[in-house]
Amino acid sequence: MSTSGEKHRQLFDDDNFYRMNTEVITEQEVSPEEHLKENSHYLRGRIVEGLKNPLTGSLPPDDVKILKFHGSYQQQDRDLEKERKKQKLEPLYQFMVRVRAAGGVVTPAQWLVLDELADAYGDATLKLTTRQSFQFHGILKRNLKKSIVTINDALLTTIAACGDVNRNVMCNPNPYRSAVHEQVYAYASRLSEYFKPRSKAYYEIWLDQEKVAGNQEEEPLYKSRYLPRKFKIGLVTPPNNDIDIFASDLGFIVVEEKGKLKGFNVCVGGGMGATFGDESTYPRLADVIGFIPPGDIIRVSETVIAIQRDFGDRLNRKHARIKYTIDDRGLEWFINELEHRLGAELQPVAPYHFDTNGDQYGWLQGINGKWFYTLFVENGRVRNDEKRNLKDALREVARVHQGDFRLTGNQNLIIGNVEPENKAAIEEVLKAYGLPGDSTPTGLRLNSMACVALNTCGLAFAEAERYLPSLIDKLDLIMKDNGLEREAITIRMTGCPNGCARSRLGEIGLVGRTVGKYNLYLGASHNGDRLNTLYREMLAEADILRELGAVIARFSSERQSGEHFGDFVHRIKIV
Amino acid sequence: MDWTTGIKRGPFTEKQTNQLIELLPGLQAGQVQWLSGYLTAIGPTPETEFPAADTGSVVQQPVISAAGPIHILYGTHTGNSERLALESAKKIAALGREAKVFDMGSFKTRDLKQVNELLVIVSTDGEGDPPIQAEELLEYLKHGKAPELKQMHYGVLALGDSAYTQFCQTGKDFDEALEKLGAKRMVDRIDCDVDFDDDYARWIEEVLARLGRLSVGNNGMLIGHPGNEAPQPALPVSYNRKHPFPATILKKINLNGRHSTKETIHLELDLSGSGLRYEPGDALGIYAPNSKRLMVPILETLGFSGEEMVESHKGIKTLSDALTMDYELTPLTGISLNRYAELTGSKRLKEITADNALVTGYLYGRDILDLIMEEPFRMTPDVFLSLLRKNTPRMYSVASSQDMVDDEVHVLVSVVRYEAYGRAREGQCSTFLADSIQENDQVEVFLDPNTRFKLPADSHRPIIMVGPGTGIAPYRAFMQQREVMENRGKAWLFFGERNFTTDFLYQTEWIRHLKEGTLTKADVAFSRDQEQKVYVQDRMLEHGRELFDWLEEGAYFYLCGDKGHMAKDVDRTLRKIIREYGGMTEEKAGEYVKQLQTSDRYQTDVY
Ligand code: SRM
Ligand SMILES: Cc1cc2nc3c(=O)[nH]c(=O)nc-3n(C[C@H](O)[C@H](O)[C@H](O)COP(=O)(O)OP(=O)(O)OC[C@H]3O[C@@H](n4cnc5c(N)ncnc54)[C@H](O)[C@@H]3O)c2cc1C
Ligand SMILES: Cc1cc2nc3c(=O)[nH]c(=O)nc-3n(C[C@H](O)[C@H](O)[C@H](O)COP(=O)(O)O)c2cc1C
Ligand code: SF4
Repeated sequence: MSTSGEKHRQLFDDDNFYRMNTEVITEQEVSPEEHLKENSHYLRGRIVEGLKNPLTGSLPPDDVKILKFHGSYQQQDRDLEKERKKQKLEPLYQFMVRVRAAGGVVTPAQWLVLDELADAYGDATLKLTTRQSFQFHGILKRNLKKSIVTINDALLTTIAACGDVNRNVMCNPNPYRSAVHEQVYAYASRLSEYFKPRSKAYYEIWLDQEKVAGNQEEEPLYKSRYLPRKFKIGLVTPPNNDIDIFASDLGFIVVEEKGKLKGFNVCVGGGMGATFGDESTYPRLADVIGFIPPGDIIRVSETVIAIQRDFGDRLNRKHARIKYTIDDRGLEWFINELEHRLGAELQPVAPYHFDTNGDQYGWLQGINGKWFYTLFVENGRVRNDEKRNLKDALREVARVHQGDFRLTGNQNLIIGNVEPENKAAIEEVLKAYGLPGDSTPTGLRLNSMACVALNTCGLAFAEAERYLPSLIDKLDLIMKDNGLEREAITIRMTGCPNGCARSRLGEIGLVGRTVGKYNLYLGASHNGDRLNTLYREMLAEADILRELGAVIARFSSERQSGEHFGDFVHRIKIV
Repeated sequence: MDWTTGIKRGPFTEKQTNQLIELLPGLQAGQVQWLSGYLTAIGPTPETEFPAADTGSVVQQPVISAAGPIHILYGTHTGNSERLALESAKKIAALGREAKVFDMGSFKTRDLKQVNELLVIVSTDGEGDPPIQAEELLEYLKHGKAPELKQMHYGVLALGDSAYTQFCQTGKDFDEALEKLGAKRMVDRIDCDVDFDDDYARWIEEVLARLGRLSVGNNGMLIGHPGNEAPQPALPVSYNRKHPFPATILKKINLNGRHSTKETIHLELDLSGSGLRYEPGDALGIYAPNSKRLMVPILETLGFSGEEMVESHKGIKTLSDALTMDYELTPLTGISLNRYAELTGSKRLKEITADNALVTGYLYGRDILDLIMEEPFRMTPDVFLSLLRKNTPRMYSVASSQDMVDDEVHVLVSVVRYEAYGRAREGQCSTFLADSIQENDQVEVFLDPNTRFKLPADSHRPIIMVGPGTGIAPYRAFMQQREVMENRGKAWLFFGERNFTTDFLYQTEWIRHLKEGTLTKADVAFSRDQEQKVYVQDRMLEHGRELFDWLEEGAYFYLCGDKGHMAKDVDRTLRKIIREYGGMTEEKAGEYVKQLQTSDRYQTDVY
């Protein structure tokens, strides 16, 4: 690739660049959702009317789909489904609300607002998600608007936290190692802002802003049908892959040179989701396709999104992510299309290295001299329970804390940018509440993740978040017997193959088949650059313990020094 | 013509005729009276209708009275009085006299002057108030406008419920008013409690006897016609209040979702084999025993073992059996209070019983246990029983239509639990159904028809249904009945409860009715889902214009549920809406409502 940085930039200042990215969608047969989006008047639908209907806690099915673009999913308490039917009551409809904050960074003041909102309208818990967002569960229809208003009043938003648009932009939260972090984080925020829908629907419906009469609204990038499917962008600073960059539709791997941000390696086509029995769907890791200078990040992103907009499958939603667009037409084609639209070639991939996709816990001092405390939050659920009052604890921290809070891609929390002199105060609160935990969690638990699944997720086949902790209790005994209680093995469970907790990137992956039964996958890499492989199907707990017990025993006796569990199972060829 | 002609013309065989002609002259007036009264009281059997006797002869005979038909005026809320009025008319016809039955609401007051014999059968409603239909007439009689009624002989049967402080007040008022106007009592008023059958039988017996006497020639000769049937004990023709049917519970569901502050039970009972039929608007009576949780402390307080043999109104049995099955321990009735005050001579109780307001206040939330604990008194088990009123059944609006459920009947029961005077209280029947009854168990039931709460005969008429809480029950029946109809009028529901997610009774059914068009509109008010409370009447007001338009279109307005604040507020709101959107004065609106009531377009079933 001959183009110099300068030349490169010139080519980008090409006037018809924008036209190239706004091709009209060629008419073809499409799924009902496509018409729905097109006829929604830029994401308005009849949500306002639906919210007013006092006879049901639900919205009409069409508006439920449109609502996602506003950052909320209609759900129901699946535990009560049968019971309420018998009682002649409709399902306990409730809304999940997802708050997006680029890179998952919020101020203590914002934390306090969210904490209070959870008690006021939610189920008194905060869910820290695998994509560095907050989720509220159990919000009733009549409180939905108030909740979204509260979130916006705290200068946060829910817009496009879901839906067929670019979602929250991930960015690993741990700047303690990197001088360029602030810069990278700034890019994450800019991307997040830049790709928000332009429609004013959100502000009209939730924030009562006047509908600007006359001027025809339009979505220069998304168009009236928006994207064929959700789109996810992440920025990652090696050697930490704690946001699992290869699971993103579009990823940017930071390349540093002498403490300066040189640019990004671009990767495309990641995605975890699959459907059992549907060969045309599968998890896929993103391909690293080239290097770009920092300044090009927005245009490259916009162009990639535009390609997916124009070529993504709009007929079969199960097959509509960019990973399929790429595989159907070939990576070559994709790179050519991208470079053609950019009017320039990508530069060669710069070397990079990841050592882990887990989190480092406890106190670490950043190169800015401030302190960062990474707290293990089991499955990202902040709540008070019989074990400990985590929610109260973090509220106390937020009251004394002057830095910020950072969500990790592993559902954990970083109490960030703590001035050395304030460190003691925070330690005190944590201690008072018995954190990180009376008995520090084992290596397995510290590297565990589970998705929400039952009782709120409508797609769950089996338990995950509510079940994994007790399964780990039992596995820990096995680990202990084998002297491995401190061993960091990533174990991830999801209630279905959509892979929200990136279960296919766990050295041990458990994917729900039906209540009480899981598929067991083994052998993902410890740094997130290799998927795991199906090892056993349809296992009940006893089978899981037996099967894993055997492999773990071999691991403790046959592993080579420093060898990770995921690599071990490959070397002994059991997957 | 002499009196024997009368007998000869009667429906007798020659043999009977001769025997009578032989027998009667030998009797003294008293015996004749007794005989005639006795024979008539036995009454006609359903099969045999009496021919109205030829009283042509009477005219020649100068008699005390007996000119013109006997007028029977009834004032009813739930239909009991009406039923008894019609029954009475039949018995009187059997006596050979013409009887005319009038609803007080439609009786022309100016005709009173012509009435020589009047029977009043009236219930008491509200808090000692007359049923709506009776209001005007009572006003007329009480406050001057009425002429003297010296020509009139009258009798009053008062229906009521001794659970209320103003027991049978309306009957008392009529009795008093008529007396003041100079009318003569032909029989003493009888105040009936909820189980009025026996008292009614007593009353009508005396009435018939009197009428017999009134129609006796001054020569003491009998003219009227006695029954031609040999006396025989009346057998129960079907299951009723006195002979309840053991119905099996098919389904029992608490309709309130988890964490609700309410407990409302939907019951489906099996009536097959009972021959019982009902219509939407009727109520199901259920008998329940008293709970040990209340009886045991009562026995302890009185120092009884419970094994003492006593004589209850249902026969000889142990005290605890009697208290469990035969008497009412909750709620405390005014009658028990009075008797106990007498018995103990307690100054405090005397002061209370002297003042109705105090009585109401005292009774509220108290049961018999409070009474005997607050004013301890040593007495024998029998004396204690004499304080109590008979166990009465509880009424529950039917929540089903037989067009839909055949031999089943559904009811909706709100479970009464509350704390008062430092003790947890339980409603007798509702908690029995909630705690002690499972599916497949049996409960004693009967049907209590209510002619005053019915769908419009014309199915095209729009209906407005206001029913917070369990008030919604009859509307479920209404909807079931209308669901099977081809072309039906519009229907509008107003429902209210505490919380939307847990207390929206029959929610999925209402949503279905809306989809299918059986229901046109529904407005709900959940009082505890937001800061400021909202109630059904607030929703009515919000839609005042439309509601008035419906009324103008001939809509029927139904109100069912709690007689406390709700009924009053809804009524007030209805009048307000009529004033505002009908552009009417207070009075005009009042007339408009009265018009609705008398034309049965404003029907209430409040309790
Ligand atoms: C909360 C979260 C899991 C968690 O426990 O943290 C989550 C929860 C849900 N995901 Fe996810 N996903 C979450 C991260 C992911 C990830 C991980 C990632 O992106 O790194 C994936 C895999 C990557 C990918 O996109 O392939 C993921 C792949 C899916 C899919 C499969 C998409 C596909 O095209 O294959 C679905 C199903 C769908 O979209 O139809 C899905 C759908 C859902 C829904 C909204 C279920 C639904 O559509 O009705 C779940 C809501 C459950 C609940 O009750 O809250 N979620 N979801 C994560 C929120 C992320 C965020 O803050 O935005
Ligand atoms: C025509 C008609 C229709 C009816 N329909 C229905 C129906 O459809 N559904 C239904 O649930 N009920 C209905 N009722 C009411 C029902 O008949 C009973 O009155 C009710 O179930 C209570 O009976 P109980 O034996 O459980 O309580 P009881 O033992 O009779 O005790 C009730 C008494 O407790 C006292 N009390 C109750 N709550 C409190 C409180 N918070 N504080 C102080 N004192 C209190 C009051 O004095 C009340 O009278 C109807 C009544 C009538 C007359
Ligand atoms: C809402 C309501 C209020 C009542 N108020 C009284 C009352 O104040 N005094 C009384 O003696 N009976 C009262 N009763 C009892 C009725 O008079 C009794 O049930 C009577 O049998 C009803 O007869 P009806 O069907 O002819 O109206 C009341 C009944 C109801 C449903
Ligand atoms: S993985 Fe499946 S079950 Fe778990 S949250 Fe995602 S969609 Fe729900």
